[in-house]
Amino acid sequence: MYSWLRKYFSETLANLLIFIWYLALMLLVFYSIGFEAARFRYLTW
Amino acid sequence: MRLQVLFLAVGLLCCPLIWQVPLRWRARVMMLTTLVVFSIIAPLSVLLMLSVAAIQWLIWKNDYFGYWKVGVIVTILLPIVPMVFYKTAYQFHHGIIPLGLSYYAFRQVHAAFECYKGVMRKPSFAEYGQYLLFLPVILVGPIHRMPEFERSLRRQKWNASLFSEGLERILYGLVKVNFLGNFLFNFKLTELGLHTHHLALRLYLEIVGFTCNAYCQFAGYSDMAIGLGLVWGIRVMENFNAPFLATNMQEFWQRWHISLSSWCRDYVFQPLAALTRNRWLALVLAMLVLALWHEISIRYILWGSLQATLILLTVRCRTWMPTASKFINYHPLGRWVGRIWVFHLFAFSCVVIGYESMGSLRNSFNQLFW
Repeated sequence: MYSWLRKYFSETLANLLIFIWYLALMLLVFYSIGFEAARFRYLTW
Repeated sequence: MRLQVLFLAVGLLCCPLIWQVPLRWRARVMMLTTLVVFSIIAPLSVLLMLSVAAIQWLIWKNDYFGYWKVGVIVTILLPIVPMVFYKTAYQFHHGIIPLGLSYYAFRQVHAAFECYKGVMRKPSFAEYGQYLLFLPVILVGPIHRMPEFERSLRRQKWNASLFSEGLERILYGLVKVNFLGNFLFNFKLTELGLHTHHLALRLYLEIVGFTCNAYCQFAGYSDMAIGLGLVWGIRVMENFNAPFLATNMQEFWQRWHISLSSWCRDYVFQPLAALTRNRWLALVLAMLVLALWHEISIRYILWGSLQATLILLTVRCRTWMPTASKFINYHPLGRWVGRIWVFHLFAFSCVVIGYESMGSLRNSFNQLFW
């Protein structure tokens, strides 16, 4: 992924995009901790 | 298994701290992070792991191998005994099993074997602790090897490419576990089965769903572990290599749960084959160890024996049916026939472990085939 980003963007911008991706993934991981509970609510609704 | 996602979140949060500390402190920071998190969640497990590790280390340090190599036997058996005890006790009392016990016990046996063989130098207690207390793999594997881990630790340096590869692997893992495993194969496929009036078809869908879900869960959590390892700058061994693309059962077991099957090959199959000069017996025992590692129960003994039989038959078929064997292994169409065959063989063998009692298993097979 990083090498693909480096094809189109400068090193600084590519690093910034990777950092944003890191933050987004962290949000997704925290959100996914509640996935099991969400599915249970959906099933019993 | 949900704990792995929690560990993943903690691992990602600690990532900036790990990359900020100087290299000479980094391994210790990684170990301390794991120690703090693991001690909060499972203090008994940490105590057990560190006590066994301390005794092993004392034996290595003092070179106390004694007459008849008692020290070697003690360092190898010491991690196994609590594992067997807790897993057997669980069958009768449904008590607790220390968190991650199966994984770190096998890592400790690996270290004991390698120290005895002289392949690996005897580690210091801090080095051994760093290997055992590595957060990404502590709960769900892979059962990584110490020499590779130490090499990776020595070469650890910031690499944006490796970091993004790690993030990518974590995303694949999340998709496999949450979307493919939980949603598609567990929830949607079961729902589809409930709308089917044909009983055999419903059971078939259940079996396919169970197998695909098991793969997605195992491979997904392994992806998360490998991904977090990469984010921390450590490359951990692969655990799954597209197992359902295998064309025979022998190849399947070289692609499914690689770290466990290679452990059984190195520390059960090879020593036993050398001792007994009977590779079939060694294979059966290695597959039984592999099965009993999951759970000590009759159903897993059956499952392990079944897997060993399937591998034996695969090898025998090369001499019994050379034309069919060549077609399945080399012809493009034959390879697809082989893949479908292997998937169904494995899926149907997993029925044995999918049911709690033998009675419900018998009923299901009756409904499927008769």
